[in-house]
Parts: sequence; structure tokens; C-alpha cells
Amino acid sequence: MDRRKLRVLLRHRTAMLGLALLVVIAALAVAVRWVSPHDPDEMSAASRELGPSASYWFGTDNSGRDIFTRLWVGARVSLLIGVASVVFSIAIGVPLGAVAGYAGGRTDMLLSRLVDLLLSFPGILLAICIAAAMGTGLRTVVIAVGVVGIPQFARQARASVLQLRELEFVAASRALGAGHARILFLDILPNALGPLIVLATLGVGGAILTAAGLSFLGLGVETGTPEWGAMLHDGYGYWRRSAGLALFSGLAISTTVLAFNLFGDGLRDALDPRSTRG
Amino acid sequence: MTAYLLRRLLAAIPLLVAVSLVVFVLTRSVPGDPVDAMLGEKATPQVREEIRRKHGLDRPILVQYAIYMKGLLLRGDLGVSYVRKNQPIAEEIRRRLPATIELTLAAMILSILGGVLFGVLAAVKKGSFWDYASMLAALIGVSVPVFWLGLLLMLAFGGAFASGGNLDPSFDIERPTGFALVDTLVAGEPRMFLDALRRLVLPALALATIPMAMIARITRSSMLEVLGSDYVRTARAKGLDSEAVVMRHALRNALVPIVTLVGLEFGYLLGGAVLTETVFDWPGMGTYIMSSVSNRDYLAIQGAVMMLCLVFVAVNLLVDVIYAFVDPRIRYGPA
Amino acid sequence: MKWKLGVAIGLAILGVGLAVLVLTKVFSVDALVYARGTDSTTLDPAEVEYGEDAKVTENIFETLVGFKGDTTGIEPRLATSWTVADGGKKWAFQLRKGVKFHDGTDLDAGDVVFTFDRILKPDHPHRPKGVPYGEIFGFIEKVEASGDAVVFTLKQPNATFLQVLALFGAAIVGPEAVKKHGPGFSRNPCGTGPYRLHRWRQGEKLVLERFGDYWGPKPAISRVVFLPVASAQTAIEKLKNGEVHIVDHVTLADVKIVESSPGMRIESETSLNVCYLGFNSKKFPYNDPNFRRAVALAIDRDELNQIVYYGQGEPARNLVPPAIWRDIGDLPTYEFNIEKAKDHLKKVDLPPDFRPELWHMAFARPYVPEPDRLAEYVRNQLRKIGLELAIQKFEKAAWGEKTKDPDHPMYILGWSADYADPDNFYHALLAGGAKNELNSSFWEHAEFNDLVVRAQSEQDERKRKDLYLRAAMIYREEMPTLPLVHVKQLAACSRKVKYDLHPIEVRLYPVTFQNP
Repeated sequence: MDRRKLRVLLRHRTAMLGLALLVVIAALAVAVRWVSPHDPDEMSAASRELGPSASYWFGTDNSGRDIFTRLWVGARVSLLIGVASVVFSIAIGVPLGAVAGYAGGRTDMLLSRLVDLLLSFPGILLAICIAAAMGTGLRTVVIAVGVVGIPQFARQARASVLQLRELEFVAASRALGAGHARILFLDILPNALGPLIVLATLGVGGAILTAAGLSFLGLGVETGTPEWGAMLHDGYGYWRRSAGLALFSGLAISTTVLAFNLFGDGLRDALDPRSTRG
Repeated sequence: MTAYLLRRLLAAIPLLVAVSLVVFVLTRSVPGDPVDAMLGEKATPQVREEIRRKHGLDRPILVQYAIYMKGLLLRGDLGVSYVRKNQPIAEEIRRRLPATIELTLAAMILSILGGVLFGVLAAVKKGSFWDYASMLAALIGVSVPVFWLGLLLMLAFGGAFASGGNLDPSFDIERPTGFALVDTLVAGEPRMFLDALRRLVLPALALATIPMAMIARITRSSMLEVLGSDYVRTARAKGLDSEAVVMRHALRNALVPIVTLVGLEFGYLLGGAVLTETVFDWPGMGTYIMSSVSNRDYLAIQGAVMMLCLVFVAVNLLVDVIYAFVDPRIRYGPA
Repeated sequence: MKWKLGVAIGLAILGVGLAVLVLTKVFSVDALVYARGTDSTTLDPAEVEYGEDAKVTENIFETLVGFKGDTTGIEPRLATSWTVADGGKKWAFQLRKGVKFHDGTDLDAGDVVFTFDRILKPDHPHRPKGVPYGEIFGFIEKVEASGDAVVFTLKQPNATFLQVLALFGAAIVGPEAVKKHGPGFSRNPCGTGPYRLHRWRQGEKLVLERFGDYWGPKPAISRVVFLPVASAQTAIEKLKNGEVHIVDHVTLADVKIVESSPGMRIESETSLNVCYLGFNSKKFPYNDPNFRRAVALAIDRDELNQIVYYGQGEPARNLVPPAIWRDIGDLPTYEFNIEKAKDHLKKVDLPPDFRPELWHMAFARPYVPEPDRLAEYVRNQLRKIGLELAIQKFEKAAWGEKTKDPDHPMYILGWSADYADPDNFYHALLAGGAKNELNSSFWEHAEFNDLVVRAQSEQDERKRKDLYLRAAMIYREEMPTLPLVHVKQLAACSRKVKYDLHPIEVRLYPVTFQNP
């Protein structure tokens, strides 16, 4: 990122707000075990379903556990799922789209059809099918959510490559005798990174939302893993009696996704000024 | 035009085949022995084998797929539920699909009305409180899980509106269409109609909020673009008052990108309905998929997901066709 | 500014409309609405496996003998009297006269024979694909008609015969309807009971109507709606609103809330169920009684009852609910003691970094409303003796398979009694080794086996009790499964209805509306 772009980003007030939120969330996720006096797992009937107080900032859940502590322990799992799913989408989507755009012709048509196929499913339905087929667990969630994200990366990569492959520096590289793989991955893709980074940032937010949906439907992580979607699922079970867990876990998801969206919008303004903000 | 329609329809066939094949293979690999689900845990091995053969579960998966699709296309048959013993799955889907579509349509209407209203407001009063407020709402809207929003609405207004379901359980009427609003009117029961409407408000609102935010954003930006364009300036210069400019010229032109969004939105709404229905106990496809997933009733999952995906593909096709009517360039452009 | 006016008028109309909607809330009262967790899967008594289905069939069908009042004692139902001969191997039942099926045909002895042949004979032309309770009737050799009477011949005398005859699975079905509908009988049931099926929109609701030609006292309420409401708290909300009258899956945590609300009350009835932690007795280290004892000592059942069951359960001691036989239920058991648990664990030669595993079902059963939290509680307790538990959960169909998996480790399971006798626990769950599909711990103990088999045909009540006490001592020593809790049966009711719970059946025909 050159200086000009960095300056645009740093002056982008909402983007900086997003970044600040992300830093706070990450810091809490890392530090919670040292900061909080409560054990995230220990159950107690005596402290069950309490409202927010000085010792339990967000109150307690139906097993008498501190919601605040569990939320930030859960943040690690949720953020991990968000990031890992996007990595999965990129790892498959970008080569797919890049090769399609670079090769053109039949290959392009075939690969593009594959992407179209993925787009023919309402995302959450595809995720449900995959998750149901694979059984519960962290790996399942990452793959199910990751597959849903593939098309957007493939499309972006294809569009960028189509645009870049006709440029002079590519022709020069080709004239110097570089192979296709070298041209595609070392010459073209590094120049297409900007929009992909924007997409990845926004994608983490989207992935966290989809994962939360899966967990909410009971197709999420293993029992006893504090994860935001699963906590929201649990909280949903008794929100009429005690709304704390449902409210705060939903709030944690929403705030984090909002932070990624704010930061992603700012990144877009800095790195990819041509695209409209909608 | 006919040629274009035919071309589009033909192009959709391989897509439909591919979509159905993916759903078929995925749902068939759901863990858990379907025979167990069918017979309970106490059946003898011989009975199991016999059932396995009878249902073709011992054949190669592509053969199973062919048999399944033949049944679907020729007889509208989606198989018999393993868990709800002897119940044709198509029967339950016929009943539930209208409930989901009713919810989806209500949400769609709500989102278009609200989205255009907020979008125009934000564009006309650019830079005002309204502008920022609607943009902030839009940003938050796309960051909130739809079922959590549903939960918040239930928490705030549930007491006033409904505790879930799409019709009071004690109402005993025929359901020819499956749409609660239509059936209650057909039965000549205004009281039941009001009950159905009352139960529709919150789920539709929860489902509509996020697309409403998206539509508001699109409306605002395309309005701003049109308002800045030459002919609107010309119209203003000709002395038309600004309201007429906004309503007659700008909004009409801004509607084109909104129409495109509606097709995309439908898919979002279908997916959202699956999540939202659970919160509102809505007797539609979402709650059906959920209970089928937890029962591992894979023929039911298969049928339900397949029907939703087919509806989705069909709606996208329809949007394409409508778009071609509106914008002739597409019709005659390169295929 | 015309459009602003337009918007204002629009908003006003919207506001008035919403107000009208909110204010016109009315509920009809000519039907009894019974909310429960899920819908029925079948209405054919022969096909019923779970209590959820029996709740409906018990109101449509009737058995030869039934449970008396709100007890588990036996009284005449479709049979008016019976005689025993041949040392307990021949039973003759005199049929009630003037009983009609819902399709108008009369009940005769041939219909009873048809019903039992359909369950007992594997090659019967009208046998459903699966007869989950077929096994339980396995001791019946044949059933024959003799005039107005039906004669049962048993392979050996059975002390629980009458109890078994009162089971929902032994309900008499209308042969004409079975022949007419084939497999579709499960959706077009025809019995002799006080209610008959009116309409079933599967997955949405099931409506019964009063049967006009019922032989006994006709129900006071003309229609009953069985409404599946997945979320228990939503069901309670509907109860509060007056949309439903009975909620049968009230959460234990909501009991206090219901009790303190003016329009609602809690009905409760003794528990004939048990939730237990099982061990695979064919797999290391779960096969080592010392390991099992260590786990038993590490779990504080009182605390577990408080935390997971909101104090609404009864800590279990010996598998058989005390409400069935108090003497067994009150036998001593392992009391919570972390130090002793560690001592026992030391005797097990565990590899370093060994992680025990626990499998559980992802869905609620009456004896374990929150399996996840129970699993988490067990994990926390084992942590205190230095074991880090790995937990896996499974959905319904997969779970059936998993409980039979020879490789399964520890598991959470439970049992609701079909009839009030220790036989339905000790013999049904623990006899016969791995051949018994309900014996998920694959536990085999020759002496235990012998005792519970002998008790089955023992006619002398005192001798039976003695046999069961000896079996209970072996069970306690070996601990193939660790009983955790018995759960009360609960229902939240509107004060507008008079409803009494029965320990085994769900009976809606005696329900009446009343002024609160």
C-alpha cells in the first residue's frame, strides 16, 4: 500500500472506527482469561440467570456462568471461523477465477459455469446441506461457510485478470519467455490484490453471519464450545425468561460484523476508488 | 422475443440438472442410516435389507438420482418421509411452500416500499440528518443476523402482535391455496383474516429490514446520479418544481437498478426465511428443513431444499425475462 | 409539499391499521389446544415407538385392559373380565358388548385376534414395516377367538402380562380400515376410543373430534388440537395468551414462572423414568469397574439436579424409579467424593494424556431436556479428577446407530417406563448382553441375567422382590450404567381447564373446561 492510499485510509473516519472496534474485540479475546476473575465453564445454580452487575458485567447464563467472560472466550472461536472460512474461499475461489480469466475460451466457460452453479443456491441453504452432510464441528462450519463465499472471490479474480492480462507489463513478461503460471501468479495477481483485500475484509463479516446462522439452527460447533452463534442458539432457548445471553451474543456478532463492514468500506475507498460505494 | 425466451429456458435446463444433482448427492451423504429412521431402532437385519432394496438404496447413486428425478418430473413425487411414516413429502411441501412464499412476498413488498421511501428521502435531503440516519440504518441492517433482529422484534412487540404461527391453532378451515390471507378470505372469515395479518407483521418486518437497507442504498445512489444528470437539470431549468422532478423524472429512472436487485433479493429472502421462520414458529419451508435436518429425514431435506432452489432459479429466470422486456438492449445483445 | 402530505396520510393509515390488528386479538374456545414439542410420526399403534406418538393414539385407540384411575393398577377396558388357567399360561378375556369402531363396524373377538396376529406374525399381510414393540409381546404364543372371548396362550407364565396388555402398542385396531388403507392406516387410524381423527396437517397440527358412538362416557370437549410448538417458551407464551390450554413440554426452569402467573398452573405427576450415564463395558477404560466408580463418585447428583434440572428432578440411586418399587429405589449408592474418585482412578492404568469421550443426543427427551448442559456438567466434574472429556453430539437418526456402535465410549441415555415394574428396567435394558439392542453398554453378567429372567415368571410377589433386590446389589457393584436423575412429569395448564396427569398415559378425554 503506498502512502497516498494509506493516508486516505487513515483519514477515513468510519474505517478507523471499524478498525478501533476490531482492535478492542481482538484485545479482549486475547486478554479475557487474565482480566476476568470468572471461569468460563464452571457452573453454579446459585448464580443462575442474573442481570448485569458489578461482578457480572453482562449478567450470567442459565448455568450461572459469566456471559462477559464466555463472550470473549467465544470471540476467538467466532473470529477463527470467520477468518478461516474466508481463507478457504480465497484458496479455492481466486485460483479458479484467475485461471478462468487468464485462459479464456472453453476453460473460462466451464469454470464460470461452475461458479454460476454455486450462485444458483441461496447461500444459507447450500451451507445447511453441506453442514448436514458433514456432521457438527469446527471443520464443518469452516468448509460450509467457505464454499458459500467462493463465487465472489472467483468473480473478482476473473474480472481483475481479464483486465490486467492485456496490459503492457504482461506482454513484456511474456516476451521475456515467462511461463503461464509465472505470469498469472507472480505478475498479474499481485496487481489484482487491492479489490481482493477489500472483498476479504467484507467477507469475514459475511462469513461470521453465515456461521452464526448455521449455529443458530443447531448445525454448528461441538457441545460446550463457547461460540457466538451457539451462544445465541442457547440464549434463544430461554430469552423470554432471561434475555441477557441472547441479547449480548447477538450484539457481539452484530458489532463485529459492523466493524468489518466499516473497515472494508474504508479499504475500498482507499484501494479501489473506481468501484462505487452503492 | 420468443427466440430469446426459448434460449433462456434452454440455458436454464443444464443449470437445473446441476443444482438438483448437487442437492441430491449432498443430502444423500447425511450421516445416519435412513433405514434406521424409517424403521426405528428395533427392526431386524432382514427387514432392513428388504427396505434397502425396495427403496433402491443399494444401487449406485446416479441411478438413485435418475429414479428420483423421474418420479419428480413425471408424477410430482418426492418420495415418502422416513420419519413421518407413509407421508408423501410432496404433500407437506405443497402446504408449506405457500406459507414461505407468503412471508417472502410480504417482506418483499415491505422492503421495496420502505427502501424506496428511505432512499428517496436520503437523496433529496442529501447531507441532512435523514441522509445519515438512513445510511447508518442501512449499514447496521447488513451487519445484524436476521434471526436476532426477529428476536429483538419479538422482545419489543411480540406481546402486542403474536406469539408465533401463521394462524390461530383452533381455527378449523379448508386451506385450498395455502396462503393464510387468501384462505381466510375465501372461507369468509374476516376475524381469521385479521388474525393472519396480525401474525404476518413481525416476521415480514424482520425479514424485510436487511433488503430494505440494501434497496435504500441503491435508491439513494441511483437517485443522486439521475438528479445530477443533464436532463433533470434541463427539467429544473424549464421551471418544473422540484417535487415533480423528483417524482416524475428521477425516481422513474432510478427504478431500473432496483428492479434488478429484486431478483437477487428473492434468494436472500428465501434463505432468510429459513432462519427467521424458526423464531416465529412459521409453518413454512424453513421450519420443515430444520425439523428434517434434526430428524435426518434426508428425503425430506432433499425435497425441500430442491424445491427452494428450483423456485430460486425460476425466479431469477423470470427476472431476466422481465428485464429483457424493460430493456430491449439485452434481448438483442450477444448471447 | 403534496407528497409529504401523502406520506403523512400513509403513516396515519398504517398506524390505525396496526392498532386495529393489535386490538382485535380474539381466540376461539370451542377446542382444547394441547401444545407439545413435535408432531406425531404415525397414528398406527403397532408402529408407535416413542411416547410422542402414543400421546395421540391413547385417545383414539383402546386396549383390552387399562390403567385404573391415575394409578398404574389394572382395570377392565375393552375386556370386561378375564380368567387364568394352566398355571398362568392360558388367559381368557371376555369382550365388552356394543363397542363400535370409528368406521361404524362392531368390535368382535376376531378383531382382537387380527390386531395381535398383525403384531406377532412376521409374515402377516398387514404388518407395518417396523413394529418397535413386537419384541415385548414375544412371550405370547398365540391368540384365538372363542365366541365372545379371546384366549391368549403364553410360552411361559409372565408376571407382567396384564401390564403389557395395557400398553399403547397392544391397542385394538379396526381390521376393515387396516385392509382398506394399507400402509396409509398410519394416517387414517380407526379405533374404538373416545376421540377420532378429524384432520391432520402433518407438521402443523392434528385435530381430533368426539366419537359420537363411543361406548363409555363421551368427552365433554368436542375437538382437541395437538399443536407442535418446537420452542417450549413460545408454548408458554401461547398459554399466557390463551391460544393453547395445555403445554406438555414445559421447561423445568419455567415451572416457577408458570406457578406465579395468575392464569396458569403446573400439574405434576410421579416420574417413571431415569436418565443415566452409560459405559461401553467392552472398551478400555470404560470396561474397568474402577473407572466407572471413579466417574460415579465424581458426579454430585444433587448439584447436577440443581444446575441442569433446575432442582425439579430427583437424584437417582439405582436405575429403577422409587415410585415403582421404593425398596430398590432407596438402596445405598455412590455419594459424591472427589478424593475417593481419584483413588479409584489411580487403580486404572490410563495412558498419559488420555481423554475420555462422551457421546450424547442433540435432542431433548423427557428425562433429559438439555443434553448439552448435562454433558458440560459431566465434563466440568471429570476435570476435577484430572480427566478432560471430549464431547460429541448426534442428531436423531444418527444417534440410533451410535448407541449400537461397538466402539462407543460413555454416553447419555435414559428410559421412560412402559409399565410400572422393575422388569421394564433391569430386564429390558441390561439383560441378554450385546444381543439386547437396548443394552447399549453391552454389559453381560450371568448371575444378574439369571435373577431378572427368573423374576419375570415368578408369581410370588415376595420372592420376586427378593430376586430384584439381589439384582440391584450386583448392578450397584458393577455400575454398567450410572443412574443420574428421575424427572417428574410436568404440564403447564390454563386455569380454564381441568386436567390430571397419569404416570404413563396422556388422557385428554376426561378434560373439561371450567371457570377459573
